[in-house]
Amino acid sequence: MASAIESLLFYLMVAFVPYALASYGIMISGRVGLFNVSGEGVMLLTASAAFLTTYKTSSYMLGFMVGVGLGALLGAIFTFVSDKLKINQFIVGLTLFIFATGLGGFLYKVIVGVVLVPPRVQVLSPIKIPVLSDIPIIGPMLFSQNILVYITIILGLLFHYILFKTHFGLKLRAVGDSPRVADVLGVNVGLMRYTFGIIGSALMGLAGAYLPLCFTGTFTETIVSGRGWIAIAITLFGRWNPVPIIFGSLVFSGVEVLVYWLQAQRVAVPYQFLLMLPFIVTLLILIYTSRRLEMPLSIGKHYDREAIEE
Amino acid sequence: MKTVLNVRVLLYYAFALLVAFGFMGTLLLALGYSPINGYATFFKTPFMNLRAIGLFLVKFTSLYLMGLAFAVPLQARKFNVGNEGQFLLGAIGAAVAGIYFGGLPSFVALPLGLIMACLLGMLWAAMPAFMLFLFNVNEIVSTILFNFISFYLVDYIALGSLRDVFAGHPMTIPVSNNARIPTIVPQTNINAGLVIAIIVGVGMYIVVSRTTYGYELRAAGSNPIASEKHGINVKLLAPLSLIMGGALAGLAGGIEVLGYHYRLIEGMHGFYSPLSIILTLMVKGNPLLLFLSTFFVTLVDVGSNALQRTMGVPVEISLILLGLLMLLIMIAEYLSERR
Repeated sequence: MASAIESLLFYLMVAFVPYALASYGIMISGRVGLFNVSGEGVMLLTASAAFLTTYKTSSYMLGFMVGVGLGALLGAIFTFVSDKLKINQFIVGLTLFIFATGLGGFLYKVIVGVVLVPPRVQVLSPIKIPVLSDIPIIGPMLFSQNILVYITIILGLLFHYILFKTHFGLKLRAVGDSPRVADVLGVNVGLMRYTFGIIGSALMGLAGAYLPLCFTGTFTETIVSGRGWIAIAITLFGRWNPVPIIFGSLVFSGVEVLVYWLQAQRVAVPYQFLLMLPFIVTLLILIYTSRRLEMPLSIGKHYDREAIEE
Repeated sequence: MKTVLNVRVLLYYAFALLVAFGFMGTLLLALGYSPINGYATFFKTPFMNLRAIGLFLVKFTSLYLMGLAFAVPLQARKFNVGNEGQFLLGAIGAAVAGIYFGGLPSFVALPLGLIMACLLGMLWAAMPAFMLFLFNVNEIVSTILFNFISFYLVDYIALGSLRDVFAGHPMTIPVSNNARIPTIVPQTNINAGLVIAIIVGVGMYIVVSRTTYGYELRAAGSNPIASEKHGINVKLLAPLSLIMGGALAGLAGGIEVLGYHYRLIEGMHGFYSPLSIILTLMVKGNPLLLFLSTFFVTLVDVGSNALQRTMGVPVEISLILLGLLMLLIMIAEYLSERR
């Protein structure tokens, strides 16, 4: 029994990473005024490309780099089209979502083809932290994980520190809340938007690469299964703050593990209804969140420095 | 509705098309396929024979109604990405009604099936619409979540008590003959659903551009604050437009079940939703121009499927091509407005 709990808690952390990374990405882009809804597509493309790279070269580093690089590239396109060409961010996001979804499936089918048994890669092995990993229950959960789990937690705390404890963070948030004020204070609004539009999408790319390389070991067209959209809900739930996003992501990985556990228990509910659970929980969380919804004030709006003050 | 048609804009559009198809040819070449064969397959197959034209028109019907389901809420600046789930709910409604009420005479069973399709599509859109109205929940995220729920619902029904146990793929038993939409050209799949789609499309054009409701909808979309001050109930209009979109997507699902598949099949939605989003955005949701963009996108969809069948090029090339084209159109519009 103890080992069953240990293994569920272990998977709680494994499943936590893609939600948190994708939500950081949405959050940090949002903080400079960019609402990027292409995450689901970015994750599918980067999952596919990262898997193929690692499968062909057996290099995990290369796989992650391809994932992050493609994410960054899509982020650059997103920022260029929405900020420079002044096109509605939702329209650009949906277009990139469709483009990336197509490209992800296309690449896999071209390189692997339609096969009965999909190829696999070994998932990245855990790094045990000496002494701490021997603690029962929380040892395997927190101190015997793949490196991305550690990085994700540290990244969240780092984002918190940068956003709320540094002068740079103040400028960054100013771009998202009031680009004109930021501009007057000497912040390069355009540069800030490009930088964090790209970093945000690169984080989604990292989340996508994580799925086959650390979680499933294989690529399927349903590998992302809504995580990119759920991450938007987590970001809203966390009110665009890194630490609450960590907790929100834990809630969703918890639901994911719960569904897995319920299926293993053979409960008398058709499995389809169990698999609906994460999406129903997301809808309920969206309703709960709406009562005290907060958004970066300039999100979704174009900034034109020559325009007359509205 | 901003006029899209002038020479300069047309030129930019043509250029975007050229670049997108050029990219496709290059991609084919890079992967070792012959681009010439690719283009030939792409443009010829849909019109090869009467059967092929029939299939083309079936897809045209679904894509057009799905586009309309995205276009009507778009007037109020709402993105009904949930048209996929609403389509599936419509398909469920039509299939279940067509099986259970198939004993009734045709003039009852068929309308009943289509009405069930519209109603279930509406219901599926009504939930996110209420969430928007009561709690101001972003409709993109909520409608997409309902899509995922609908996939599992289809799986449950297609593998449940209505399952066709002789089929390898999850699907229901066929609907009764009385509930089927009559074909209008013998020996093909061309059915009266196409006529319904055209009538609904013209009707929607009139609603959007010639009625007070349509005017208020567009006003609410382009300037919500000013509209509110002039007594337009923006808060109510946008959710209503989503529910209307739900009925249209549901109708598409119903027509596809009662006029073509004659049953509910898992995965029957294919790429309808992403394709319909692109084709609507291409013409900014104008219901009449939508006929044109639907024709083009249907061509891409059928052509891509032919490429997959005959040359082994993955069908996802349609999404890559259209996504790229849409980005190019955005650039083209920016350039044409600046000069």
